[in-house]
Amino acid sequence: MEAVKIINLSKKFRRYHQKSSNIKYAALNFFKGGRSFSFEDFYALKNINMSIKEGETVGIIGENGSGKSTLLKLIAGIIFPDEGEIQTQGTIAALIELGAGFHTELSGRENIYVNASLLGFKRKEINARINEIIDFSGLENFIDNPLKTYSSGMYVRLGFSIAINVNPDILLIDEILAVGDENFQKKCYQKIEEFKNKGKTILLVSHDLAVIEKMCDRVYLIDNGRQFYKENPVDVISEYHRRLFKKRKQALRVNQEELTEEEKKDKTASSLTEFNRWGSREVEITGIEFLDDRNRETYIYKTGDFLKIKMDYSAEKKIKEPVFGLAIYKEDGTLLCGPNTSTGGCDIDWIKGKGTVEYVVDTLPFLPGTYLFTASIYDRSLRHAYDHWERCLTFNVVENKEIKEKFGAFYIPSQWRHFQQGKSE
Amino acid sequence: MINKLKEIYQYRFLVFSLVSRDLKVKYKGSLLGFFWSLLNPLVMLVVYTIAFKYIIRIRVENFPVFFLCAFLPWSFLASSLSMSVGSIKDNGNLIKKVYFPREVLPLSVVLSNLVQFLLTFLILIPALLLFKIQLGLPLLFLPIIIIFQTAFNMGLSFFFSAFNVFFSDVKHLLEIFLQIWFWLTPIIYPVELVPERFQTLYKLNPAVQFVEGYRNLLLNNKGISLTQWGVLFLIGGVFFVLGHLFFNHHNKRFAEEI
Repeated sequence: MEAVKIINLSKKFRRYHQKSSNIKYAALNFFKGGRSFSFEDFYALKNINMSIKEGETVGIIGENGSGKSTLLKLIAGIIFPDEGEIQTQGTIAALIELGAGFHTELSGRENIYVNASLLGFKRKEINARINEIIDFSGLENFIDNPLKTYSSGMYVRLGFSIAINVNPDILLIDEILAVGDENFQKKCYQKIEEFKNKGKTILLVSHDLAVIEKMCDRVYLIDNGRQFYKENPVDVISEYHRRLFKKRKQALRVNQEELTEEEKKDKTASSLTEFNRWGSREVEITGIEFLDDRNRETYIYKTGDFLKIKMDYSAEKKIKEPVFGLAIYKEDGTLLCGPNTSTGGCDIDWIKGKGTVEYVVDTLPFLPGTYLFTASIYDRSLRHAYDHWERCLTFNVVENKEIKEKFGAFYIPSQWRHFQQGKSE
Repeated sequence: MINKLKEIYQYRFLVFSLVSRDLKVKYKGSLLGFFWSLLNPLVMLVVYTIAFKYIIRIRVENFPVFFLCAFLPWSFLASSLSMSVGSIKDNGNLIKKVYFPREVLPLSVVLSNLVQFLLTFLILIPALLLFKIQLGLPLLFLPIIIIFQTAFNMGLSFFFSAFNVFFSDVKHLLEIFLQIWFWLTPIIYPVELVPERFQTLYKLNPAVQFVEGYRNLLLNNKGISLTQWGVLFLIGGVFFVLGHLFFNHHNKRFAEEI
């Protein structure tokens, strides 16, 4: 049976040119020309069709502003569709906001009642669960103190404990699993697993693709208000990566104003120009390409693959002793490496006009994950930046079946040996 | 509408928690607690008594209780409205992120004011006894008029809180409106003082009907005629239904407009 069925759903939002919600403006505009506000409608979601069966765990991925949270709000009944319809079967709880209705003057216990009742609980249900909630939060010793004495971590933990202890048929979760310390997160995931095992339906919106991949039976991609769907979650996730890479590339070109007219109209491309770029620009980076062993452009590598990064530059005048560099980060921002032409033994005396620098790795040591990439040109002292593109691209490393390592960021070719004392045949 | 009311009933514990949160927050940490709620009408009582009995010398028997019988229900109305007008807009965070029947917000404001109104009977009844007012059977009808007035308050609260989402001026206009309404209601003067030719027009003010009703039950130890009850019932019912219709009509846009 279907727990959630979405048919031809579209949602428009109104963008006001002059957001003025007072009577004076309304009246003025009214007398001017009858139209009370000037605004344009744009589709936050267009033609969404989903059918989610009872007991499924379904992931929704997409960039910020792609419309995935809007979709969740529509399902929860917080906002209403303009076209199409949503049919739901069973009770719904939406974990979109933690600690809704919390009041700092009241005690943790009193706040549990307020917040839980906002989530649709009745008194009996709360009474039956309150100990479980307090237990889960680990705040037994503080539960009767006013909320204003809580740290922000405690606040979030309390909010989450209430939310996670609801018992709906359909659970909608928006990005709120990223709270608390690792221990607490583990508890939360266990709780969600429990839900799954009980045969509840879960819709999960998250940036954390690893979590999505691990927990979800199926995945939808929402991109610019439109959905993309393939039966196999891995296909959807790699499509997401492909589009992300394309947009990043586009953004690189936006920065160089080399955009085609069509791309200029595409609003998402311009929103991506906001990566940090700085430098005096006597010499500029004009293009970056990621290539595989057959010189084809790519953004997905397997651990152990050949990788080549090409950096094109253009110098207006003669630049002495430039240093080309790059940096690769893990998704959480940890710097993994930062090689440059100087440390790499490729000293360049001077440049003028156009040219290309290549960085070649024969066997890529990174384990599966998403990696961020920075490119730069500095002077010899590495203090003066000519052109620096901070975290301008991402690329992905996927599993190589021959390499079974899972933990950390690197695969280091190595051998294990075992010796046991006093063992005889 | 019936379905909506059923859903609100499902969420009755939310209404209860919001009302009790409201009252708790109000009285927590203050020494006099809920006596503050009584202090305000008492101060008004003294001020108006001095002004109207001793300075303007309005001729009304037992002016202090005459005043209280009307002022307390009026305060219930006025504070219900001025506190609920922002109840949707100021809770934007909830509206945007949590699903629950939105009616709960203005409802809980009105109900928490109702509780405070009921508490003020703790000064009203002793005051009536102090002035040796004959109290009798009509008191038994008090709950009915209170229910009708609560419905009336709720209807208006629905209207203003929804209207305020789209125009933030509503809040300010309401304050002015309440000022004018106060003087158009026989709180500090008897209805009889209004000139004959304005009487019909004057009585179209629903607040006049309620104030007169309360005075009859409390002060004059008189019952309320069946037609009069009919009028009160109609006022409460019509305002409640119309207010809710207006609210419900705009409900869908709340989350986007805030």
